[in-house]
Amino acid sequence: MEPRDPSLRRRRLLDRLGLAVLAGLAGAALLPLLHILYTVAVNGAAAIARSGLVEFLTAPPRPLDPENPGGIGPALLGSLWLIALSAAIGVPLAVFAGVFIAEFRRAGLSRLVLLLSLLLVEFPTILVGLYVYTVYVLPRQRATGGVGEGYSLLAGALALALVMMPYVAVQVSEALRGVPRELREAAFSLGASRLKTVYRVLLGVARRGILVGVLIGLAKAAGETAPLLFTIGGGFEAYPRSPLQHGGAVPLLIYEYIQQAQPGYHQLAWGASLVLLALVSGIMLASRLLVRRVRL
Amino acid sequence: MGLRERLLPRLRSRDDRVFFLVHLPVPVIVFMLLASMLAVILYMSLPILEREGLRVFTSNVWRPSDDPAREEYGLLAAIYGTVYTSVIAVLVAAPLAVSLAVAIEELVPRRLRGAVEVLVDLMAATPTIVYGVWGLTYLAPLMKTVLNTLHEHLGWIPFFSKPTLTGLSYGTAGVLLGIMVVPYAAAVIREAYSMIPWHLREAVYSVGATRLEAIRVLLGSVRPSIVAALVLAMGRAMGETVAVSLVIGNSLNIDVALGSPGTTVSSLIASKFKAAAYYEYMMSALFAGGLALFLIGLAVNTLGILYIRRWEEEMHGAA
Repeated sequence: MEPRDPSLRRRRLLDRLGLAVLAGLAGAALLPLLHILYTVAVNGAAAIARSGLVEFLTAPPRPLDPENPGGIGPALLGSLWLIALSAAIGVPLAVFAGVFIAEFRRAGLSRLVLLLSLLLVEFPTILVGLYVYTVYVLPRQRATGGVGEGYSLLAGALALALVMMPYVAVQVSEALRGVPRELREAAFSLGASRLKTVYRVLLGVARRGILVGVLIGLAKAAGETAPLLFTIGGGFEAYPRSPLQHGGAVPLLIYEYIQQAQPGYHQLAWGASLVLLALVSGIMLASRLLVRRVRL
Repeated sequence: MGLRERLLPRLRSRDDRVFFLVHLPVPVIVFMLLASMLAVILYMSLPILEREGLRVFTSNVWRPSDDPAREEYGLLAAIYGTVYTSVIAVLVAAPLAVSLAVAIEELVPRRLRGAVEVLVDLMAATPTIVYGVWGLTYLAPLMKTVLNTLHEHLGWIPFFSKPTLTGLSYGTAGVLLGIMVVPYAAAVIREAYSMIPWHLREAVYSVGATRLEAIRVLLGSVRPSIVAALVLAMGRAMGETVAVSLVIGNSLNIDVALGSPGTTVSSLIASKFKAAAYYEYMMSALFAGGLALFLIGLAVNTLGILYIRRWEEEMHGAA
């Protein structure tokens, strides 16, 4: 039935128009991502196909060789070192901090720690890089002498751990908050101490939520570039033999190669972008599946 | 109630005291970390501050020299670029993030909601360097066409007063940042929007509001969260480094024209860091930039977080 009231007709027209604009803007918000996924997939796959997947993932880069462009092996190894080391340093500390935030949530001290952690999450990651450069790289540089010394994968891992820790700590505290009170009381009634109750029982119950937080923290760390600029020292041709040596990482390789003039570098950068995006989105999707299972 | 009672938890037994003591390193480490970060950045910027005073923040000059007496650095262009690009980013992100949040809550069919959520998650998870590569290869040429067309037809408006040769410009950097911060802003807005109590929705519809009118009223009720989301997004945009440094053109230039190249504090640090080791004062000047970034970011983010907290407390208080 068509409404007689002209103002009502106007309102209905406005309603449709407004909702269309809203839907259009929402679509426009997603459009860049879709185009990024498409272009990274197309350009990346073309670059990787030139050397073959295994070669691309393991061989050193030969950007100026059109016959055999090689791959990103050394940088990928560096990234794996960085992820493993930053997780080994950051995750235990983050769980420890998350427990503190959750267990004393009424106390002002714990709220303050939560507030500072939230601030640290938003802290520009380039400043974290400058910080680790000053307190870790520079002293080593002065000890060995010479500009360009002192950089190491370990320094990069420290920076990434600092980037990831506050986020994971907040996530752990949220996961612990969701554990039912009865479980804690049951553990206490069996005579367990508070330490045992929290670390043996509650963390186990909240493990999925904690794992999701840890995974997203790792995905963030794997994709970070800025904290690595002043810490790992670079070098994409040679495989890092030890985390105490300088090395490359996939995001840093992309950053340096995309700024070169020759197209051989650009192709390697696109291929590396596809590898990085696949790695990060794989971790994200895994964490999402975990969340869904929790809800069921 | 004294400060001590408010700060420290109530410890009822020996077991509680042990638990607290074991975890005491947490607040100590967190405080020391933040304090030492600030101290390190301050300490490293002292040489340039002693030499130039606050002029390092208010002048626009970059003169490295082998003779330390002739070196001079001023960060004004970088500070301007950081603020300018992040303001553009917020203006770009605001309508997109609000629409995305509302569309997911109101318009997307339940079956498709999971798929859209995955896309938004992916948007947040995509490494910033990938945004940078895309921005340099695809967005910059597109922006070049757009900005040059706007310059041709609307060149009398200061924002469009200059054409761009490469597309690497304030405008491109701002738009790229805006795209990048959409998922963060949208997440905060969505959370607030989904927490709107049912009786408010029912009340709006019961007086005969159309869906658009209802959405406008409901969005009005979460306005503080929208502000907070945009403030947080702005903080993120200001701290971003590699994506911006690839598309901004890296030149010390203060201009409102969206087509002119510029720089930001973080891309200045990224691009000058390698050379800085060879000069007496350049490294210190870069740390002074870090200090400026820290202070601006701290102010913006503190405002944002406090705003969210206050809003959450009000919501819980009302419920």
